[in-house]
Amino acid sequence: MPESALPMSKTALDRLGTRLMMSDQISSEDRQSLADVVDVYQQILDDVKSRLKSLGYDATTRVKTTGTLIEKLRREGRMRLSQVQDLAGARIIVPDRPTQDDAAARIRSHFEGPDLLCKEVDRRKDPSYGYRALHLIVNVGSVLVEIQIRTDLEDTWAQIMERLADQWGRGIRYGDEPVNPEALVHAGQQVYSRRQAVALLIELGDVIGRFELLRGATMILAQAGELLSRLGKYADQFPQAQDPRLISELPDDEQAAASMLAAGLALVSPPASRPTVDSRNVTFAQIFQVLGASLSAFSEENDAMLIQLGRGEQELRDTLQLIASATGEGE
Amino acid sequence: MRHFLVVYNRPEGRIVRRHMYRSAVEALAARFTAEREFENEPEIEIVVLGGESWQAVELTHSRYFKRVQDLAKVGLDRLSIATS
Repeated sequence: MPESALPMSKTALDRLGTRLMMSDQISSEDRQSLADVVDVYQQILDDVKSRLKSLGYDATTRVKTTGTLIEKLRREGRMRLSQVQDLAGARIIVPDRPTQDDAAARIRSHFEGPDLLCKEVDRRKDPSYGYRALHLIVNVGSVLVEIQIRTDLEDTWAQIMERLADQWGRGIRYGDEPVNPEALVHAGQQVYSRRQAVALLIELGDVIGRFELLRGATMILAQAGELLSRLGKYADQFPQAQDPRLISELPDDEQAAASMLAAGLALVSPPASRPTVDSRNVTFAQIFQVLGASLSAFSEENDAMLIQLGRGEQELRDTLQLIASATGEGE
Repeated sequence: MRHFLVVYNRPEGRIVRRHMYRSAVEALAARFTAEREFENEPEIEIVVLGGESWQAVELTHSRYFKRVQDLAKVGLDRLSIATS
């Protein structure tokens, strides 16, 4: 962790935020103060990036631009500068939800300490005007850093929305009408108003959310099946019903798979059948039983899930194709 | 670790200036110089991105670099990979 500390007290930082929010023109003193603060945040972000790299994640970083910072302070009204959670941000893009959950768990465990908890903002469960991602707010040297973990498709959605917002008004990211809401957008043979196009984009976000949840569930089910089969070879050597060994005595790769499944099964299983798998403390026989029961519970739903997944994929493809065929950007 | 200055015109969807810096201090100095230069043009966004390469920042901040239609095409490619 860097030794860096903010170049001013939190009170002075908040006063700086108030002046930035209230004035039309930034004074040269305030610009210098902000530059000093940004410099510290950048050092901390560079450290966070190195730490994420040590975990295997190639992150990019940014300190919020002066314009978007002032925009946020004004939008949020009473927000203090020291409370802005995304003044310093890092972003990671991963292929799917199970990888996203795994990344969050690993990053959280890296940054958390006895008195240092990470805050998780799960925008997959609680989307913000269609925006979905998993955010972790970590505390580094008394500075808050927002680590955004997005799946490929969540990122695609967010970038399209941001790019459209640049041209149709940034308020569309927060539910406002686009500028010139009735202006027309041509996509292939179809014509939409901007208002309809934004609604379509919000709907696309919902489809992405459902698709990724289902896809994550099917991936986890497939992994559970594979693990069961791998564990089978141990069952041949030791009758599973009597085997008192703990999972922690199994080879490392089986342990890792069991840990991942413990987290993953909670995602896909309904609360009533949710297995309580603490992979380190259950016996070989118990995990066999739990995985078997989970697979059985889902086998009937699996076909339906695959059909839904196929529909979701088609819906996604159609909407993305529609956007890709729009004749002029932000027309 | 490198730092990338991007000066971007939002309504035109166009990068006005881009430059790679090997030091954060230089990149931030360039950011604040650009902020003064464009202080009366609120449509101009000035950002310093930290990353390994232009390729890395173009991936995670593609909105500065690609049109909406091209972003959607990237989404289609990602969907194909996801379902292959």
